[in-house]
Amino acid sequence: MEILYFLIFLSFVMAMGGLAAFLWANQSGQFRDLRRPAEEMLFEDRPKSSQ
Amino acid sequence: MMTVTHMLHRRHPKILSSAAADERFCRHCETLLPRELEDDYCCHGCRSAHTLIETFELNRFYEIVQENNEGLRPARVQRSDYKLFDAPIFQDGFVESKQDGQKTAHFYLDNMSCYACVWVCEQLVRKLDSEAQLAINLATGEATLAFDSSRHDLSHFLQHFEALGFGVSPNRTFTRDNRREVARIGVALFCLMNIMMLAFPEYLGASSLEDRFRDLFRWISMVLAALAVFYSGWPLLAGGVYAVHKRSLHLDLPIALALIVCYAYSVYNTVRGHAFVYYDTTTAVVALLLIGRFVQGQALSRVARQQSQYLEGDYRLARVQAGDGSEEMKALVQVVEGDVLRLLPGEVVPIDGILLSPSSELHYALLTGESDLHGIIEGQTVLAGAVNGSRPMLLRAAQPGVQSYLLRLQKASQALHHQKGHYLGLSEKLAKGFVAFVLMMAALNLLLWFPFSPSTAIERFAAVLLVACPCIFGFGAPLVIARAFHLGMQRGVLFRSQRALERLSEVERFYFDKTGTLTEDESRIVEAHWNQLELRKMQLDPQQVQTLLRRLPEFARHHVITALTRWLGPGDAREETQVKAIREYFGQGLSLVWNGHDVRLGRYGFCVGREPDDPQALEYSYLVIDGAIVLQFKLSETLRPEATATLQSLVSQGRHIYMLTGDATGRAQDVGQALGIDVAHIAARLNPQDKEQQIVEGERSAMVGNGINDALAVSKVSIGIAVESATDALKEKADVVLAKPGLQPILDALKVSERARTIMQRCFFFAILFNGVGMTLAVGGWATPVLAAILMPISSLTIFTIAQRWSVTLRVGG
Repeated sequence: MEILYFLIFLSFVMAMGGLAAFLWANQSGQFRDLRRPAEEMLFEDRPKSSQ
Repeated sequence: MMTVTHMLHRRHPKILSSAAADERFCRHCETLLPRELEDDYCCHGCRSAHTLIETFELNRFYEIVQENNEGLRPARVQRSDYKLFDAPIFQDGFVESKQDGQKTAHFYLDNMSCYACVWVCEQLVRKLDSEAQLAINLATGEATLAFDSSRHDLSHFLQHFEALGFGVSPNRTFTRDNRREVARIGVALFCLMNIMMLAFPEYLGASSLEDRFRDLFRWISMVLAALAVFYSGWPLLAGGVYAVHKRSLHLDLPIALALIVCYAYSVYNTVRGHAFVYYDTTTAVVALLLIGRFVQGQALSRVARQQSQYLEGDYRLARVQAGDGSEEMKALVQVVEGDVLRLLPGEVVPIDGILLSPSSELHYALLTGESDLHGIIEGQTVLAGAVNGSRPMLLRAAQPGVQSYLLRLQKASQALHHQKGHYLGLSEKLAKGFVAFVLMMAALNLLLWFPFSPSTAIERFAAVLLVACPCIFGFGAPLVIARAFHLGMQRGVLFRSQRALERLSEVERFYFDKTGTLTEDESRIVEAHWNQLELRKMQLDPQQVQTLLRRLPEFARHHVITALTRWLGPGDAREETQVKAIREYFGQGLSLVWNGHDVRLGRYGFCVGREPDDPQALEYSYLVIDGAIVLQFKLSETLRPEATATLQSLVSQGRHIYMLTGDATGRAQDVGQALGIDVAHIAARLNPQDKEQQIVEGERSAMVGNGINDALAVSKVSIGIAVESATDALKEKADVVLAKPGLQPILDALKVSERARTIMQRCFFFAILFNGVGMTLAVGGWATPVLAAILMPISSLTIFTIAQRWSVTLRVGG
């Protein structure tokens, strides 16, 4: 059962990674607008070239 | 033209080919055009939007719209005046100034339906000024524009957006950054999930796990729970400290107390190695409360934005007199200090000012509710909100119009957010009782058990605080209210306060004003007789009299005068006529001196000086010159088409309908009969004070009106309702404002109010149920960690679901 110590340690490292990713995404404003990026990527090419 | 039904006729991109050959569509919004319309556009707004798009070579916009399968709404021309947005005082709060004229403006863009709208706006800004930067949040409609004010004014950009059909409104709350709130919720959920994972073996029974692992799990949970309680739960703890500081039984107090006590008690048990650890429950409470508050905050700010857009769209006009005596209607916000304003009788003073006329009379019905006239003399100060009593008056503005305008906006939004000041909502009252009850129960347990076993006493004390679920008060009730505001707004009803929402459904007696409320705004003359004989006797030319009548709108605003001028049709109103000593008698008529003649217009009794012998004469209005009747005419009004149906529904709900009017009895009864109102419930020939007296003092009454003469009555009833076409002053005073024309929104308002009440009761039922079970468990000492962990989230989630997910079914047809 000693393996549990390692597994718990491992799961926490992974969980912390997830938490860190969430905090970074939140801090960089990725949750502010959930619609625009989804639609914007479909129209990337022509608007750029029309500048 | 611009109604919702519009959307139904839209040509859908997918069914292009199926359109009949002779059908034509608007070139901008693709609305089906009526056959008789010989134009390529459905409205002027669409024409200018299309022209603008073609001029800037942005035709790809239409392609993107098609690709996205989104329809366009008809573009509206909303404002004629954008210069307002350049005024520094108006910019205060939504425009940030940086060095060298660099500015950042925060505003909302309406009608952002898909990325195409975002694209066209951002392209447009690039073409207008290559250095300006526009960023639009498609989900919320928030836009941020960085520009150089030395190159272009803000209005230069904004008017182009509006020309495209995207309404602009300032965003004065842009500083609200919710990133920290989101982070707190995320951390709390992270902790919760990991703690639950670690607690799971214990749910199955302590024996399934070796002791050393069990203890390790508890220690890890302790660290995670500390993060949840002291980082995520910080706002809750701070609220509790604040409540103690203010010595009030605020809801945050038991929440903060429960969090601290439960956490401390769990730590204590962890150290001793006892089973009663509640890290999972404590963390769940933090997470659910934070989510509830977050959703509630979002809902409220959305409603506040919608309401402020509606009120901010109201650009009240003021009559500004130039030095040479010429007059111009200006938006209130454009008025500068020192401008000379002219006010007609019955108009509301829009701005603090100094009286320039030798003397005048005012009443303060809108401010204080009393309608006695107060005389004032030249040089005295007149406060905004006073109503001009009887004569036209001149006023010098003592402050810029923007200031008074912003003040009104501020008041309007305060009414929404700080409604606890004068009125304690049902849930707040109960919350206080609940807090007191929980604290007492906890204390009682502590005192009773302490002599026997101190550890049991602390255990029970903590358990009571823990299982007491404050969700209903913490976010249940506020969520129901925010949702009701939102549903009301969708149906064209603005609840101005929580009180209005809670009280509306209780209303038993509805008092309606007649003219402009039950009837259409405009009345017309159906019958008129000139008395040629008297005119000849006085050697008056009928043309001259007509010229005088055409000039009357300059001096007074009354629906009779409007009807008269419409009946006379256009003509020469410029002819030199001398009009002096104008005076309006409320509900009676108007008197003036014209070229030396004494002229009276109004009721028989007022014009002739005695009551008529024939009651028929009361049905007419009169124009009397030097004591002789020269014109008598009869007015007719059109009922609002949906008035009858609306009143019938109200009656079928068991409510009583009354009609109050200043009009003649006969006409009032005709209208009443057409609407099916009991004759005993019709009161005619009332002045504003009479209207107020007619209303039976009592809680459960509502007054529906449109004008200042209803203001007194509105302040007497428990709920004042202003119809869509009501004057701004009444809208400000009313508890419920209809944002859609007609009377039907009243039914929707009632429905929302009733439904909100039902939902609230349902929440209370579950809250009592869960708390009852919880308390029993706690007092009996059965509140084991497993039970608490099951009960608490179920309770919170049930309340959350009930409060957030409800709707009101729309009437079909009608």
